[in-house]
Amino acid sequence: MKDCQGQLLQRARRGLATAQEQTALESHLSSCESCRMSADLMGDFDSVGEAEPGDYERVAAMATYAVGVRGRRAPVPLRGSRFPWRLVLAALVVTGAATAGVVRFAQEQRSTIEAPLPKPPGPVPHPVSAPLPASLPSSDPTEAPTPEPSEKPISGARGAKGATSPSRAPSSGVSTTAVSAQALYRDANDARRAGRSSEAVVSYQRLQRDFPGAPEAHAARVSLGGLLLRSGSASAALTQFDAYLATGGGQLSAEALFGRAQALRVLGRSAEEAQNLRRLVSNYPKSAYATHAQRRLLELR
Amino acid sequence: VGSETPHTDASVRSCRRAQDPLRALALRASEGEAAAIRELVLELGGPMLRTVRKVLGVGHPDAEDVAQEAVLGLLASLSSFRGDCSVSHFAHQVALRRALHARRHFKTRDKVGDQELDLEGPSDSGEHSPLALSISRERRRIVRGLLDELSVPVSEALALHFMLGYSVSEIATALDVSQNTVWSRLKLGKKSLQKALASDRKLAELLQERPS
Repeated sequence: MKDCQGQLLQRARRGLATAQEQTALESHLSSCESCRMSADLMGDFDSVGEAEPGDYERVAAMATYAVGVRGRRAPVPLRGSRFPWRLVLAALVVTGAATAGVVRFAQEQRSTIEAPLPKPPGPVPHPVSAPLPASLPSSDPTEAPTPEPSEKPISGARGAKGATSPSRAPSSGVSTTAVSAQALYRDANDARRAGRSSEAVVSYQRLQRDFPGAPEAHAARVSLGGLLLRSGSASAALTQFDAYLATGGGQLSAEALFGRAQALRVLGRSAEEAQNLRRLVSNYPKSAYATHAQRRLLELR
Repeated sequence: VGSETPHTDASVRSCRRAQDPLRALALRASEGEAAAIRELVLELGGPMLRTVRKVLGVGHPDAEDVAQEAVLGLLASLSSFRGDCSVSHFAHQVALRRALHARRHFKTRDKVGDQELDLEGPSDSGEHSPLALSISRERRRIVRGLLDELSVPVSEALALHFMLGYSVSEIATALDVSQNTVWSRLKLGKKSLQKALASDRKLAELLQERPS
């Protein structure tokens, strides 16, 4: 049962096979059970390799966490042990009121250690991180990801590396408002990732209510829209996606358009759904959602 | 026919390194440069997450956690990465191995099994009929189940082949074994798979419904 046409099958899957090779492969597949099984099963797994709505934020959160764990400013030795930066971070997240005290504590500790204190992981990724090149998973693992079209930042703070939340913070010191918005967003994202959807919805809504101008509140619209959509509140979800797009969108515009299309589908507004999908394909042809959109457009014809 | 040239030659490896767009970024990330780590994870995290989903099943509640572990595993192993394959390929392999390990771990906790069939909801694809999608889903379930049963080397070879679409030479490079060894492992795996596919009652029922 030698996998006799393995190389040809790979070339065909990667779009490299000539017409002649393609014909030879098809002929071979009709007679070789082993290669046919390979082709079928590879195809089966290709179909589950597409990006899911929300992947942008998931990966951005992974990046932030990885920087915190593996970055150069990760835990440094403190009297034979490691500085408890995670505990400091947890304290920051749990209560904004504790922030000043924790920072003061950290500053006091700074004089006792050789290396500088580790920075806690930055704010929740979306509002401040670099754009994620959302790429469709390729059946060819060697194919390089395709970058998503870059977009204008939604505020002056966005896109700046290491920038924190909104510039409406007080002129000096740590912005309690900014930290709280970030903490709320982080809590909401954590809850969403952990499957605690109701808790996440409450946090996102509180973020929007208490910090309407914060970039986190803007980004939260897409996550919240997704959660509402999955919970069956398509109209409320549509409102969130519309609000995100109406205020200039951002790095999640493709995802917001995709979510909007799904909401419209649930609501039975097919014409608008198709229009929205065409916009998605047109504006973000290389985004992870373009393939989904094109397939749905075919269904809607 | 089908013979593949092994790419273990030093010059070929060197050339590959030079051509790999992520190589320089990976080097910086391996040194702990925060910006490079972020950029690398943003670049590779998505594909790694999707590889994990292929192994665990779409919608598996632990897919994100496993992907996160895989990302950290990738960063930890970059310093020993020799450049035998692209950084992207390497990341896929790390994700796949981590997910396979997680599957076996979850199995002991009864977290995966037949229930994973329900984790993959109906696709919105318009290209395939619902029957074709069901057959595809059932075959994925059988493959995943078999991965838990086979020996680790065989299941790795099989997963790299079917889930990531690797060629024999790519698998040989990834596993650091000869192509003949890969052939043998794939042969073993495919034999088991053919048995599993043939003996699955649900798949047989679905296939009977398919028009000839």
